[in-house]
Amino acid sequence: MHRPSLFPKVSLDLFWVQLTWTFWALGIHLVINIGKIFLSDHVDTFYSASYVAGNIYMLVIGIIAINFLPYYVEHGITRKDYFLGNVIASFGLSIVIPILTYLISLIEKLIVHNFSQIALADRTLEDIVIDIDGNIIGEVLLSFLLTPFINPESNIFLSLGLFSLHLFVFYLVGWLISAAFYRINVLFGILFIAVAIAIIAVKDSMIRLVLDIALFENFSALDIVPNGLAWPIVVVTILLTIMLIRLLTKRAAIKI
Amino acid sequence: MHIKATNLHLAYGRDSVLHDMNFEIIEPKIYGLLGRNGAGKTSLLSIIGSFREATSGDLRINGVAPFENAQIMQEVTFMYNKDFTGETDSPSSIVKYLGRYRPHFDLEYAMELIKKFKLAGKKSVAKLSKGKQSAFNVVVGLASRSPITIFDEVYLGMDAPARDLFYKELLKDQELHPRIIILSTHLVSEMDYLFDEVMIIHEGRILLQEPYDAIVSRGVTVVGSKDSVDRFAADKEILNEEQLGDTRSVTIYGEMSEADRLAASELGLTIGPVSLQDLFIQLTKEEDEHA
Repeated sequence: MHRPSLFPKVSLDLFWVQLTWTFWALGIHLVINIGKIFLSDHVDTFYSASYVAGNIYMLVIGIIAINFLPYYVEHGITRKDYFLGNVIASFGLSIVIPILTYLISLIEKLIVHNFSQIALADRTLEDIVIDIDGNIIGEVLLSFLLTPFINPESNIFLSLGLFSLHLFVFYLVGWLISAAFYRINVLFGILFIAVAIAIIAVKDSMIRLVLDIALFENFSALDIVPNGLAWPIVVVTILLTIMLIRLLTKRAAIKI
Repeated sequence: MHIKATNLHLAYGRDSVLHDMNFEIIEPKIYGLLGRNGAGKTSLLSIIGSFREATSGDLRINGVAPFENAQIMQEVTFMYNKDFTGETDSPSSIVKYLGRYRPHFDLEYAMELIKKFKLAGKKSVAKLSKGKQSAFNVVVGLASRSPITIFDEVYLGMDAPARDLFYKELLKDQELHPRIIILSTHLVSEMDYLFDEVMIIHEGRILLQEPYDAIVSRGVTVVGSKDSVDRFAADKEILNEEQLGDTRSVTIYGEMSEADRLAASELGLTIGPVSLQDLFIQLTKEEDEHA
């Protein structure tokens, strides 16, 4: 007896569940953003503020994503269908979040512009003075917070696309770390945190090369990469991350 | 459905848990899986439920390896003592989604069981008592109506009336929808009447697999005077012996022939049945536990 593949169903369900969480997160973030409008005179647009918060949010829900593995296996779904389903769900989520934040940001701008004198700022990387002191931890942290940003008003598609790319990679590394903790042990989990940081550093540096933004000092050696290779390297890095997650979850035992 | 294990072996690192297991489960009946703590019950059931792979050997369901087989995994439900921490939905809202993944899931039956086990209401599963959480596992397992349904001691937290309700529902539903049901348990004396067939595992090995009736007819308790009992039991496999004054009682494993029964009556011995629990205790006794 042949049944249709189950991963489309899994991807739809996982997309909805995580989108529900996202609505909550966006709602809370919007409240904070609106609160800031009243309290501060220099406020980022919702879109710009979400650019930073979104990455952390995706990292966190990526880490939670491993918990769907035992849930699905318990309900007779293969690890493969879980994996494919969640890759699709997280990709969908990465596309939808920037569009949602952009739309919310537009409405916010419209309201603020019409009813107050406050100017909302779409930050660019150049606006932020980075104290480059060669401290690798500091730079890694900064690269977490300051992923390369394109102002939506200069190129909306590139801006949304880049936003989606950052979100997707942060989700994947969260998922990768939790998969390593789940499959192997704490030591490997910690090792995979280092792998995750490397993945983010490579992705950011390559995008900086493409966008012609200065690299962080510790990664300046990457300057030798020809610009034409930067995008393929980003794609390969993402594919490698996805493959690593599959390798870690492919035969994972459900511990009870 | 049909389960067949050939030389099944499982090790966690250097620690061997299951050794060379061979067994077959063919008919849609209720199977009691008995074994002491750490005997390897959950490990064995985890392999059948595709929760983990065997280290070596072979487990096949309908002739194919179940692990990562989408068709087979859909047909097997493995319920265990699950940790429901963080589960924010109520039992009735969780079961509504289960039909999406479980092809034989009967929502109407699940709702009926939820009422019977008093799990209705908006309270999240995480906030339910341990016993109620166990009852919820039972509801999901029964209503999934999977051709292979495994309950790994899920009923331990339930109180006596709830367990009794579970046993009744199990028998009733099994009659209407026969399937392979594997119940692993410590509550041998309470559940023995449910089993059509019994598998006892000990230290990772199958000790025996027999129909319940055959198993309990295999052993007898012989009571009488010390000398008579000793003479009668001389060439038999003694599982246990107890003595009080001159009266001796021995539990003998092995079938009684007509000649045996005649001999016993001539010696003035009383022959009584042996309970599954007694057999289980005796068969799985460790060397150093023998009095």
